[in-house]
Amino acid sequence: MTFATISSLAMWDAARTSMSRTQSQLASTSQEVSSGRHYDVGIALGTETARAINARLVIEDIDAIVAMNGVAGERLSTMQSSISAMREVANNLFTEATQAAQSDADRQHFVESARSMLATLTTLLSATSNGTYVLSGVNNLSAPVSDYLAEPPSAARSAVIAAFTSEFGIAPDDPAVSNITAAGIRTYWSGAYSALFEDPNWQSVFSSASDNPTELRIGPQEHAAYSVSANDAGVRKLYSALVAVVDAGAGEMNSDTFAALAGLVADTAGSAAADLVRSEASLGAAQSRIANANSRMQVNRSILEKVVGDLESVDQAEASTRLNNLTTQLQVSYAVTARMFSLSLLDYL
Amino acid sequence: MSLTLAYNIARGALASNAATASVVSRNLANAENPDASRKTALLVTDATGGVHVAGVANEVEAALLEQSLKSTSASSHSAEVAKVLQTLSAVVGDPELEGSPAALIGQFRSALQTAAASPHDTTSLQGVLSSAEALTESLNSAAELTTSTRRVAQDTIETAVGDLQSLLGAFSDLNREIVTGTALGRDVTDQLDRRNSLLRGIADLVDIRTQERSDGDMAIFLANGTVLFETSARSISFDGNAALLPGQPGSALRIDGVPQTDGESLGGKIGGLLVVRDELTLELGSQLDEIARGLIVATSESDQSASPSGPAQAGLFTYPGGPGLPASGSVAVGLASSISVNANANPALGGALERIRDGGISDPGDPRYVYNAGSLPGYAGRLNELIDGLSADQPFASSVSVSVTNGGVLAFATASAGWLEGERSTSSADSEQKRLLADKAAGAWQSEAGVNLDDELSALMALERSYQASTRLISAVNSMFDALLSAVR
Repeated sequence: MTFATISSLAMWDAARTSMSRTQSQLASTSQEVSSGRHYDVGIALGTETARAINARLVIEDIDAIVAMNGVAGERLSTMQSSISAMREVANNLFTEATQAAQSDADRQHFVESARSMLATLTTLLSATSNGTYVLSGVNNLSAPVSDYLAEPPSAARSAVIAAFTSEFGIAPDDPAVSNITAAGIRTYWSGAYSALFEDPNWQSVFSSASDNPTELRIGPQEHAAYSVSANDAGVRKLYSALVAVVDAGAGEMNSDTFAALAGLVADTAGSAAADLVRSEASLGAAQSRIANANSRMQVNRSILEKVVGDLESVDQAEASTRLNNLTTQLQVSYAVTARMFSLSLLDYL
Repeated sequence: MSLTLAYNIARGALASNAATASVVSRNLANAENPDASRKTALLVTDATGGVHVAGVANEVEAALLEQSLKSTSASSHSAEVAKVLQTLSAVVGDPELEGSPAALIGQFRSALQTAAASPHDTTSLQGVLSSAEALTESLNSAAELTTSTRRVAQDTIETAVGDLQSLLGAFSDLNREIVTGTALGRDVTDQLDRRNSLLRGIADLVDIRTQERSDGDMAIFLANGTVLFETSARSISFDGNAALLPGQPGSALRIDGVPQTDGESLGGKIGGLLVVRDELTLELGSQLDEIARGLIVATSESDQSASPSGPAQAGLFTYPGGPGLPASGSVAVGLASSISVNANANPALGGALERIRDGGISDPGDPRYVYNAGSLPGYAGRLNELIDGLSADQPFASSVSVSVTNGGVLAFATASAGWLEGERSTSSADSEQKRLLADKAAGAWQSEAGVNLDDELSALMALERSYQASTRLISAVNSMFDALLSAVR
């Protein structure tokens, strides 16, 4: 008579292998409970790992773009406040020039005031942010304009004086300037003088700013460009109006001619203010695009954070339940193993 | 019927009792030996009514053994593959640690983004250079990892082939002993146990099928039909010192003259190692080469002159074959290990950081490849173009397992990481399952063929009783003789 027997080794091995398996599961599960992430993300996700990596890549990209949008935003704000201050200067100049055109009484004061406005404009044009001159376009390591009133006279000032001299045959501070007629100064203004502030003279004589647009990557798929710089029409007009007061012989002119000059200055200052508003608007548009892109990216980022979380995290409640089950299971198999090993016929013989 | 006959029967019972007891003690001694099977003494009643031990048999269920062998080789095959994928997954790592080539391309992109926001700042350009160097180093070391994994696989195959040969040698000796022992009617059960244990060792190395003949002889075939052992061991040749050429399968393993190139059907540890050496590492290597090529193409510089005539040239990332671009659409073998950051952009090697912003890295002497002609410090156009290039569509070789239709090199690198983790996840689940099956099959064989201590102990008690009965019989016959003799006296 034969009985189906089970080998003792197989019986003990069964308990042992189940114990070691439970123990290794216990180790990984307890780590999952404490970290809240899968014990081995790659194993748990398989090919889905690509999605997790991709989400993390986009998040990193968004973080970099948002940080750099901050730098760009700071630059745009600096430009904005600088241009808005220039607009103030233009408005003041307009007011003073209009008054000067009506009464010649404060001519000296007007000229002095224009000189200080010119100094202010130079300072405003040299505004910096993050170590760069914001109004120099992409040539941002050089100040857009040099000090016009510097001693010895700047190249720009020499060029203006030379233009005046070649037009009228006398220097602007010559007493004979009083012979220049209102019609003469108008011709000069619309001809040789204006040409000084047009390209290519403006860029070779006054400004070292670049017209090339500054390109920004403001979103993962979004680019913006702006080209506000010292070469903008508003800045040139304001500059030309101020320089005219300083270096077009205002000191020696007769009243009629001075009134004509002040009238031209007032017109140009008014038109400069209008152009500066346009520059402000274009900067404002870039600023609001950045703000919109930022808020879109924030939304996108929080969705992606959730994707990463959903992929890489474990359900804490489920994991801790699993941990409890495993602990119980291990205790049971300890108890069973102990009993199995105590079960031997030897003890009863 | 005589008293002498009764006496002789009792004597015979004592003798068979002793023989059976020796079998029981052999069983008890081997209770902890997983290869041993339970032996039983075959008792035969002879013509006179006595009993003797005709032989010893062991309980081996051939089907269970076969099952156990098959699952052993499947388990060691998948365990080998899973182990290597675990090593290779260091290329990707935990997504949180961001050490994969894809994540490093992402960091390179962030550095470019920072530089694009302040292109005048050489510190930010230095950041681009360092992250580019980190990227090439990671690709170089990933390529090195795949090569060294291949080399280790090659060496391990050589060792395993040596093991297989010595196992087959031992098998041959045992097999001969069993054949002669069976013919002479000897007890060959211990030899059978040892032969089964050798079979398990062989099945661990390659997937085998066995065929047992009536005279105890056994033949071994590979799962694909090649003869491994038939009367004598067949020749196995493998050149472990053969050079491993990048991108090409290594030297062939020949069994009985047949080249074994399909690791999957060869099975076992050796089959697993062949899969590693000739498939997995080659595939991963090709993907890394494609990532490298994708980077070179994405950062290449094009002719900027009004009427472009020059070809695109390798810019920030280059390789020994530069500045021409590697051929598109096919894997440039070994590119991942040779990709480097162009010295023309590295001030430490005589280059200039500004070239990252201005272009002209490929050939500083050729003004056609300069993007920022006046070297204007605020120019971010080229940097933005580099950022966009990383995710711009480009063709990848169709021979690799990963394909992306859009998203460029960044998407390809991401998909490659997904491929690797997918393989690892599948193989790890597979290996876990195969191991369970192997445990189960071994356990089934064990529990069927192995020794149960309690059973043997109770058999021992029965033997004790029958020994007592036999001795009582002898003393009873003895006293009968005494009574008879005293009556005669």
